[in-house]
Amino acid sequence: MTINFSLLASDLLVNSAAKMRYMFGGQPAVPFVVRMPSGGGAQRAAQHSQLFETWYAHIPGLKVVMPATPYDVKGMLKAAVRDPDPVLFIEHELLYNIRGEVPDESVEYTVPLNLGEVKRPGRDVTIITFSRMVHVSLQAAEDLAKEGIEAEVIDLRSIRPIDIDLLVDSVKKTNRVVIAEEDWKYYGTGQGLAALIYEHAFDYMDAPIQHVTGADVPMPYSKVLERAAIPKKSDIVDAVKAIVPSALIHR
Amino acid sequence: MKKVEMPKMGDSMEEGKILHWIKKEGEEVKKGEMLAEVETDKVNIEIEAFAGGVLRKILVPEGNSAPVGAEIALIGAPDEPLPDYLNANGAGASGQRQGSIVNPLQPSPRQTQSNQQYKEDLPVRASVGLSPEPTSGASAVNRQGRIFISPLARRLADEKHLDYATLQGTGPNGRIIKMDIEAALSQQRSAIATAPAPQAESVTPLAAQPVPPPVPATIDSGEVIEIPLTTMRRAIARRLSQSMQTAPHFYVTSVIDTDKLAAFRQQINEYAANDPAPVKVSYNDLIVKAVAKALVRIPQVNISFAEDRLLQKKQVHIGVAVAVEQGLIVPVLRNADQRGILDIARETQRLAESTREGKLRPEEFSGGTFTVSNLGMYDVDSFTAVINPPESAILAVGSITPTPVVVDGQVVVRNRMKVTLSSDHRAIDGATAARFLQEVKRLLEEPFGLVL
Repeated sequence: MTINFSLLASDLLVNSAAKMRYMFGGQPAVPFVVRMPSGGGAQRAAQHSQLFETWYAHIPGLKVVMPATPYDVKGMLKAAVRDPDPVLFIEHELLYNIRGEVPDESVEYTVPLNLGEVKRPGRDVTIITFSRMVHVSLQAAEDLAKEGIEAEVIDLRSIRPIDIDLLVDSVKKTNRVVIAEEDWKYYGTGQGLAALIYEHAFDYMDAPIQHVTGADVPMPYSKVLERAAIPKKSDIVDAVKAIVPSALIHR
Repeated sequence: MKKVEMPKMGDSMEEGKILHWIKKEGEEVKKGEMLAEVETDKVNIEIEAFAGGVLRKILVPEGNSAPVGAEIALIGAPDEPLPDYLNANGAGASGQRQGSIVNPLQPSPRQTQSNQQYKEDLPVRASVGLSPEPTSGASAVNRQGRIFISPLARRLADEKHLDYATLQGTGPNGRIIKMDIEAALSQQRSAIATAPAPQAESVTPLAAQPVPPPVPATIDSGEVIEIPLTTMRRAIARRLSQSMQTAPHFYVTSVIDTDKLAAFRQQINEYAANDPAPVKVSYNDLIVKAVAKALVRIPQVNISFAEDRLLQKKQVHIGVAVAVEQGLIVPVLRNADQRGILDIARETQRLAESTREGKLRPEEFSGGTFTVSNLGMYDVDSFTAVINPPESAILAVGSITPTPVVVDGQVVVRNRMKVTLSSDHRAIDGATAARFLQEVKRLLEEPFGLVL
């Protein structure tokens, strides 16, 4: 079942799971994990291509994670299972086929549920992203590097809680931010991140935050239109170039 | 469609006024051809086309001003469509458009604007509370004097006490960004003597001269004649009020015996008349030379006050106030201490001519470290001058007058000249000013010192 169907269960998730520990004075734990495929790109049309992480990440009491690599999936899934709170574990459908290094089964490891990670260091701009867009952003960073722009790519991994310290540290270094997400633009995760960054790192901003998102429409079924509605590598490259001064390019 | 932007000509230039469009809409323009004549607060200058094509659209009509970096015209192919924002807002006839001046009567273009433009305009709306003119997203436009600067750049500038108002932003939309601040700081470090010095004007009674009719239309309303301010007059008003209000001036006057100087000058001029490039040396040239030498010996006067520190300039660039029709300009004689007297005379004459013709280049009227203002030719005894910031001192030179003086118990007639040094007490103390003046006096009374 994809995240699209979770709306039918959202009363239980939001009104029950997220509230139990709080309303009973911390006595009961609600240690369950909801694994949910999400995202578009496979021609599943408007009702089955959505990303609702923003809806759930709004709710205090829930944890919402969206790992992007096999290593992180395994490490975070174990951490989620061991966590006493309800964790929504959201997996992008198009990531099921990607490959990546994972330690042998004999190696015990977990990945914390509250930390992001710098997937590629850079000095000129910070691309903040998560889930499938991590891979698109890394490809964009490759292209940008050929033009002399060093982009730092941060994989948020967890949508709630947000690893704001990691973001602020990066912004202090690069002074520029592009947020890349597949979801719709308005009132979403990216806008929330942007507000936090302005709040915590205003004096380090050398350019307005750029926001790359999916098109503000229900996901089209048509393959051509669907492709147009999902953010691409070139969208991220363009967003970076809009705020990186031309003097930095080809320097 | 290529944009023609208001160029920045000089450190202190914030806006320029289009006096005259040399090319008309629809006319063909070759790269390098003159497009328009622009009046800045210092000079009138012709701006040239950086791209060829047809002058498709004049955005700032004659007589209107636009800030540095603002679009003033569009050049393109004859059949190239004009940008949407022009069509959509019916800014058709060029006369209708107020350039970058906010026109509250214009309907808000907001409905027709894209999100992008909406974002661009938001800060302006917030700051002026008026409907913005439609602008292209590309120009940084600083309507109503607002400066676009990133939060980071502003913080850096504040920390380093850098006046970013004079910087040209290189970021998107002309925003001043960190890189611009760093560039300005390193420029300041590497050439402290020519640090970004918004050159201003010395206040002398020059304005009291007969004023020829100024360019803007005067209005005679019975009791008074209303004379609109020229940009130069506005700059004089602004910079000199600032100087008088922020720099505590004090004045030291010295009387200089000029008999030897007169003989010396005569000798030089006899020689210079037969020079391969004949030139006539004025008293002012000799005074400039003396001041330059004195500044080398007493560098504490060759200084700028920069709030938390003093900037002592390693080079000596002497400004020489020149009266022009609408006010005055101070062209700058660079490295005056290293020039010979004939060289000073030639360069000063050249600068004065360029000044009167309004052909001065920005670097020729900026970066001065000390100014000489001479009203000797107007038969004035003495006067005080207002310091030309960011300099810290200015020498006001009066007329040479035959004066009875007592020499060895006898009253004799000697030619004498009063000079008055105005100093900024934040940077220069009385004793320093006096020592400097003493050195100037010594050099002018024993003028061989000027060539030795």
